[in-house]
Amino acid sequence: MEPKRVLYINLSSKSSSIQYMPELVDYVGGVTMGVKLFALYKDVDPVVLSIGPLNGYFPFVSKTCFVAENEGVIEDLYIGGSLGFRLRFSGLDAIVLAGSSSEAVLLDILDGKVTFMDETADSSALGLPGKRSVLALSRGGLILDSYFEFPSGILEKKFIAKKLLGAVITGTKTFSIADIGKYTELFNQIMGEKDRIKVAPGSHPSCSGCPMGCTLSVNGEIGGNILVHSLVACGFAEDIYSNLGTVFACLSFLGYKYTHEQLETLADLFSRTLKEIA
Amino acid sequence: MGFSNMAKTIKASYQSRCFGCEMCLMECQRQMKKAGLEGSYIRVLRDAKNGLEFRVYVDPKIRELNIDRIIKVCVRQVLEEVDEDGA
Repeated sequence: MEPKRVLYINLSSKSSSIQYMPELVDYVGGVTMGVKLFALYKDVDPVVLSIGPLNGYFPFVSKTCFVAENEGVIEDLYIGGSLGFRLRFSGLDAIVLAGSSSEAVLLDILDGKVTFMDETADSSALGLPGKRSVLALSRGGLILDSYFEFPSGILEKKFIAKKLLGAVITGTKTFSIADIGKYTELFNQIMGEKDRIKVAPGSHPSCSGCPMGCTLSVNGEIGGNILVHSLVACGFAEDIYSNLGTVFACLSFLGYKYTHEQLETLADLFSRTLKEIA
Repeated sequence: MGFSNMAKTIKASYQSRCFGCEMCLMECQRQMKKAGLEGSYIRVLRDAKNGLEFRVYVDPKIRELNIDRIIKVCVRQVLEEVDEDGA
């Protein structure tokens, strides 16, 4: 399997690099990979953003995972909106925000290339419309796309401590799909399970790849099922994405060679990784 | 006779209904055998200041695709089939 692609951003030195990390493959993505990245970089007070292998491809896999430390506790938080898609189409599996800036800084990230902007920059004028997500401190909190909020104020505190005003993330990469028939079949099979989503459809701003428009998307999530959050699927789609058969079929289609055993023991790997941090 | 052989296309007639799920965009790209945002014949733009509003832009080249499937994937019924002259 291909190595995970991690964008490491050093806020202290205002430098960045994309790291290819084969050692992360076993962690699948999302919270399990995020906690491992936290463990690797715990000395620089990291905030880790991560997605899973299905983000951008399958419905209801529409969240982005954040891992950060808060008062001695490692927290995993999830936000919806368009960020998961933009990360996928940036060609990234994760971003590590390391250290802290000496002055207020705004990140403009295009396909993994980072430009450090000062506080005079207007986040709404950065990136490419239709292909960007705007994460910004505003209205007294950390807000994604002027709508989606994070649970608790943990990340807001982190961003303020790092003098990070926000990040505009744009993804312009595309990925070809060889067997479009099989892909459509899997996609439609999952769409056919829409009734298993534990939230009622509504008319609120929806997350990319989710046609529910639910009232709860604005709030984000905290904690939950390890497999579902390693894929970074919506927590309300747990009944779909905790089904190993479905997950295995989707991963196999995309060329991931995980075994059932690896997926079944992911929670154990997550627990062991947490212990590394302690 | 009420018959038209005008080519059919898609018009985003009910933009105010759009809630930004981008399922239409995914369907367009799927028909072009790819995943991604770049080069899609439908673009969904979020209002930069107001995250509650969206604009949907349709490229005329969308007539090359199966427009019926694109229209049907939108649960908000933002899109409709029209003749190429916009009627």
